[in-house]
Amino acid sequence: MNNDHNHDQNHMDNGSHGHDPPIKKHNITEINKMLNIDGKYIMDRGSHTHHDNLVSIRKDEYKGHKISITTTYDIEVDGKQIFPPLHVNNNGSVSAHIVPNYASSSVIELMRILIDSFPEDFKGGN
Amino acid sequence: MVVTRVNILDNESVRNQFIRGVKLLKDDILHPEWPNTYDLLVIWHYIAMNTFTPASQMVRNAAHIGPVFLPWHRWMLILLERHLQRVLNDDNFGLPYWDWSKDGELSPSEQKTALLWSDAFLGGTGSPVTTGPFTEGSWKVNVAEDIDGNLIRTNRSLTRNFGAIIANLPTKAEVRTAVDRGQPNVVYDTAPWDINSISFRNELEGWVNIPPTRLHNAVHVWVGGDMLTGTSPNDPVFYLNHCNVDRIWSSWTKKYNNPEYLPGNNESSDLQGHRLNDLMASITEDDQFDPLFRGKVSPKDLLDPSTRYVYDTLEL
Repeated sequence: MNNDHNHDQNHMDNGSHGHDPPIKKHNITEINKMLNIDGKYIMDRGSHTHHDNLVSIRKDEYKGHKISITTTYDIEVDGKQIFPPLHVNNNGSVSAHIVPNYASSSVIELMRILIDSFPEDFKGGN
Repeated sequence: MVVTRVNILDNESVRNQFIRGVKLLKDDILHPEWPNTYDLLVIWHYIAMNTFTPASQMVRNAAHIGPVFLPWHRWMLILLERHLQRVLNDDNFGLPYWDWSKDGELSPSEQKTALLWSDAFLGGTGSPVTTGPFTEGSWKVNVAEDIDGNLIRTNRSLTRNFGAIIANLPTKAEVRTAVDRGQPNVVYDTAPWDINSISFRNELEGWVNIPPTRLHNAVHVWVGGDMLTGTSPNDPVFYLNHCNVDRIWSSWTKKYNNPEYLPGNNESSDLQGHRLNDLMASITEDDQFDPLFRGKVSPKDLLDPSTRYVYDTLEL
């Protein structure tokens, strides 16, 4: 038996690419402890901020020209600003990794899905 | 031992074992300071989904929207199957699959009342689910995701909302299109290795020609409720969906005589975790949780699962 379960890590290292940067590691015992004490485990997303969630950059190359399109959203629900992690895909559809299997041509439609999917975050209404 | 994975609608014994087994895993504690084994699988999925590869973007992650989607979930299914064999004390147990494309041939109203959703199988829709084996008192959702993408402790019942976002499950024609699309140049995956790729992986995952959402993704969205978020394994139907996805991958592999897995090892480090020999995102190296690989396995290791399991049929 492996007794290192207090030091569990999410290994993404690669034997054939030892120069690759390390990827965030996780510890089950720590996750479980935080869930039990704080009721929440906050993922470390490095330099990403809440506001980064609302900025999506598309990049493409066409006939040797480099294209970059930045889309920024400002979303409020019931007067409160929210920061769902939105991404505009190259075909113009919009997705959010918190509903990871869905993409829509309409951000309004996507917001309706989010309100239905996260009732604890959108209390009230009817 | 090589086990056979069967259609859950065809085998009452396997159906009952699956339902009993996942409930046993809810009470199974491998280490005192760990969550139960079922919830640990949920957390592993959430962590992988929220591990972005590379970390500089927020689309491709360590288990989805990239080449590793199929082998990573194959690993997860193999481990679930192993744990079910352990708690059921039956090394012959093979996971069942749900051939959702067969239900996709029914009318929208018939899809919602198909046999899988009857009391003896997985129960029906609702918030909370009120019929079948996963109702309040019989099944608790202990971890979930909030809108900020954090993992939160909860204590509530399972939710589903059949057909609320999309009316139809994928059809057999859609599955066949995905499997046949590659002819004559069969490509497992290709640049940009994400939601925009024109490849078998991206087609089966459900991102080609969106919207509407398709195939694997469409099953999550059609079921709705807990199946919509990064903690979607909270609903046991998650595994029936992915077992069918794995079956479709197996069928494609056989049809085209083992096409090459891409990307290879020489691709950019931006694809770390997705290349042929990369280690995939694990949650632990503990040998009680992962007695088969101890958390260290690459896509290459799982391209041929025939020494572990076979499907009763690869007909789609």
